[in-house]
Amino acid sequence: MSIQTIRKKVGRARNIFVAVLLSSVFTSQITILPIFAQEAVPDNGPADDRTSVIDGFPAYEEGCGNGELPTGNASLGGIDKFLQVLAYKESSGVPTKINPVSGASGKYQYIDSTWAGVTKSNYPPGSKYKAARQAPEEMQDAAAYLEYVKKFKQFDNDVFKIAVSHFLPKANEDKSLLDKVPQGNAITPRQYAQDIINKTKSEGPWTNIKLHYKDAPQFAEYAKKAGVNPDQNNNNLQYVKLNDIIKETGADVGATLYGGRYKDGQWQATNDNQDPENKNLPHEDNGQGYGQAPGPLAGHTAYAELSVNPDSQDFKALGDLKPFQKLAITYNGKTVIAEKRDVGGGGDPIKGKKRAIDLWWETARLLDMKDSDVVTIHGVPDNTPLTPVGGQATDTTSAPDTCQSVCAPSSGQILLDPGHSGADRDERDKATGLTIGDSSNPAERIQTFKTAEKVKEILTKAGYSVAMTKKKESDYVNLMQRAQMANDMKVALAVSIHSTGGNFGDSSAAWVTPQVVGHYRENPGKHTEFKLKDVAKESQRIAQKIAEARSATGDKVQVRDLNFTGRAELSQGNLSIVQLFSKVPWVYNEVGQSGYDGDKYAKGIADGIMKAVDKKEGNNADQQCSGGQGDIVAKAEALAWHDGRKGLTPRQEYTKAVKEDNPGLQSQMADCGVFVATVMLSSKVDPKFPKAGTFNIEPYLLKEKDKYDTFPNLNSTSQLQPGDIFVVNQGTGAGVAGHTYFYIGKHGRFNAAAASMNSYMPTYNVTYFSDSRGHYLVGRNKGTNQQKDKI
Amino acid sequence: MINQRQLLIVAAIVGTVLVMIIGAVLAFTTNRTPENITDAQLQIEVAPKGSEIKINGKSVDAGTHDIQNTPTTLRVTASRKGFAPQVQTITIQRGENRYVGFALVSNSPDTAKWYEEHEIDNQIASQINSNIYSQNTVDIASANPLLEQLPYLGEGLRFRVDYGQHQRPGPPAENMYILISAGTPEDRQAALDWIQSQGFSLADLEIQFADFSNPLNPTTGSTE
Repeated sequence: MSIQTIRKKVGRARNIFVAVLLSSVFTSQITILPIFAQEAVPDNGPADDRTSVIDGFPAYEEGCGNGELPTGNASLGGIDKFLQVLAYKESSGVPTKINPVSGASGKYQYIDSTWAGVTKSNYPPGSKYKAARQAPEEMQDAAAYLEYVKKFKQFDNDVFKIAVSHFLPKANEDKSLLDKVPQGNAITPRQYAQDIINKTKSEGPWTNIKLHYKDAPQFAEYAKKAGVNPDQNNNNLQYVKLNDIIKETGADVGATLYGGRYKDGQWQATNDNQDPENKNLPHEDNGQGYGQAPGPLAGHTAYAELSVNPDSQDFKALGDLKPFQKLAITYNGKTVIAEKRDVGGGGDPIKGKKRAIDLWWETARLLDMKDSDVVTIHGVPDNTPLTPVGGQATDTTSAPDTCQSVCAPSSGQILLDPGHSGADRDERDKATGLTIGDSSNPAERIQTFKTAEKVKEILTKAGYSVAMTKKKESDYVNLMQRAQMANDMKVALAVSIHSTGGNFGDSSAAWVTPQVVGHYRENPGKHTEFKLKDVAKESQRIAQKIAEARSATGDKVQVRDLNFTGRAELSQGNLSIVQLFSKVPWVYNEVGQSGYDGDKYAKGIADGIMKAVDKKEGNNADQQCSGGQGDIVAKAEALAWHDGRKGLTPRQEYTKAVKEDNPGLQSQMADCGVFVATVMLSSKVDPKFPKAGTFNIEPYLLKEKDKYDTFPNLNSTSQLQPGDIFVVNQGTGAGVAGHTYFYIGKHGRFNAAAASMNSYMPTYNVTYFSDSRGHYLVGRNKGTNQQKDKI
Repeated sequence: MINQRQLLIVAAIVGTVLVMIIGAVLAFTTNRTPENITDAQLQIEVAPKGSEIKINGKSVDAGTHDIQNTPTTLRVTASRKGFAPQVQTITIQRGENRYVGFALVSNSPDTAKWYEEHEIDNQIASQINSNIYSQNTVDIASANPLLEQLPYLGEGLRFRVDYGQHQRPGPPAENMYILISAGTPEDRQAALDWIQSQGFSLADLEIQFADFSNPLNPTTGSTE
């Protein structure tokens, strides 16, 4: 991180290197990893008798179609596979890695001069970076990809020669060098190349290394120059038919989970092999595999094939899959790639579907499947990378409207949503079945986009942060994506700008629509309604302000509902899709198209926004949350010193708050638990919050699921919301004295508020995620008017 | 009668002796500045009270210890039956006053409720952990000055810069990284440019990139 830290690390690395070098001299038992120093690419020439072509990557020829790389699954073979292995061998895939001895750096460990040459020849945008490690990962990937497009062609797909060219290029010309260990290395070019070949033909950690070259600036342009069409080299999953049960279209089957469970707000192993400290856990599985099972389970994204007949123990419910057979398993819009590592008996059907698969708990955790349910399974090719247990399932559909934890920011970050897209598409949300595809409506689209740009200009000049759901009027962004943007960005307000039939200024064609609890959209048999009370209230307040401001421009505006019923192409109901799926306040505007006055429309909307939403103060990437979270921050601000001082003098406000709201603890005010409790009690966010003690606070957060979401493994500020409670206490309440404090968002150079026992009174501080006591549990108050209502 | 010559001789002798005494005193005190009395000091605290502490294998008591021959690297351990032992290796510089605290954690059912049942040890452990927390925050801030400006939201919500912490052993200050969330390569670059504009070298930072599902990459097509 800091220069000092880097130096320390480099120093340590050098020491380790020297130690390893000396050890190897005396013991000859320690292998030194190859020090990679690329040289200029040699001319093609005979190097070795054998030829190795990676499976799945047919010979590249000038006459191969239009010069494109193979399509579909070829991205998992060919150059991608080679680059994954290369990145793994050189840097374990870490784009900032540097070799302190050779100076080689980045994901592919280019020395600076080679990086300059490779980028100049293949990918000039990368030349602006002196060292590979300084370039964003996608640019490193782009430079390497385009370099190896050339090399694959140059060496006629001979991976052996390509690998040698990477390790010691002149060994491709002088065969005698193939079996000699170059100075400073421990292996020969042949051994290096053979290892690359072996790895490209097998799976391992390298298969999980992601390549981002398609995201690099101007990549398409330079790929085209290199004769590559990257758009045809996609990473989409390829589904295959495995048998009559698992056809190409997949199969829905009943699924159970084992080896672990979701309890008290977190996932935990439930077998004694995985948790030797706890012998009282049930012996559900030994985690080692047995019977037909081909391997251990712990730490693997695995499943067990159950039996057609539980009594017969035939283990053929999925058609008797081979060991390690990979499946794409989809649950609630998430998909993982898991492999068969076990078998089981089975049991009664689940929700009418045959119970056919038992998910190892780490697989279920990835899918967030907390209890038995129905999953969809597909066969996938054997070379499809497994989802790592520490990774994430792929979101394959939109999230349903179930989130109850809402953060409605009050600072001025605005998302403008000009209506319609550059194409007509029929899309459905998988979870709800609702129509989320957008339509083109060119006249309206062009009008409203210009208006949105004007609104943005006005707001930006006034000091607001403004984003738009489209960059160009012709962009296609479906309705769910638009809502998701607002949710991900946690904006203070989203505003849709539309126009409709009728005259500009007529009240029959001019209205503002807020979110309303109970408003809905539906398809036959599936009803989805808006439930977020706090958001609706804020949306209605802002809608009124915008209506007033628009009316002040001469436009006769009403606040009224929408009605989509009777329009065959849309889901029925009375709330727009973007508002329905939004977790932040969203206001929808319509105006007449005849005599359209974009300036007037823009001014009215902008004036309304400025009256309703406070201008953003400074740069605070976090938002104040509605209800409890915001109240927590406000109270913490009121009770803590703001300068980070460390001392035993409290603010008067804190003394008063303890005395009145957390009585009996005046003698223990310099204590983290007392401070957190006092904020929670004094703010009235949670009148039942424990009065003190991390021993009490952590179990309380875990137990009170109606009041708190808990997160055991957060590790960056991007995952936090101001008002989050950090607590570490060894998880049991029986460990050593823990610590607790608030994340409060950016407050100058601080972002936390904490007190410390006998050390200092509440003051601003710095957030971090683990210390000598372990990792912090984060508790997040759920909206909170529900608590207030109970007072 | 003592003549003037004898008086001068006596005065000379007395003067010489005085000069020698003053010189000796000055020489002695000059070599005994505080820095030379003690090179450095190390304060050690441990909970539960009475746990065994060793510095480089030699048993010592809790409290403050004088450290000579600095700079030097010390391996400090704390152990007690029923608790997981802990070790800290520190390099202490001349003139430094360092603090090392150990709040041992139970690893046996026999001691699982130790801190609940031993109020004094609980208070000592709390203080130790407070000191560690305070020191960590100072270390994090001084080693990673960019963190003071984070989270940062780029103009027009184009990107967001956060920080994160690896879950691995070691001081938190050495486990921090910068996390850039941006939807497009251009916005990623804008984030990098912003970091550089604040006077930080990208080469000195561990930077990770995360997707930022926002309006800035609208050409990604359907979620279906």
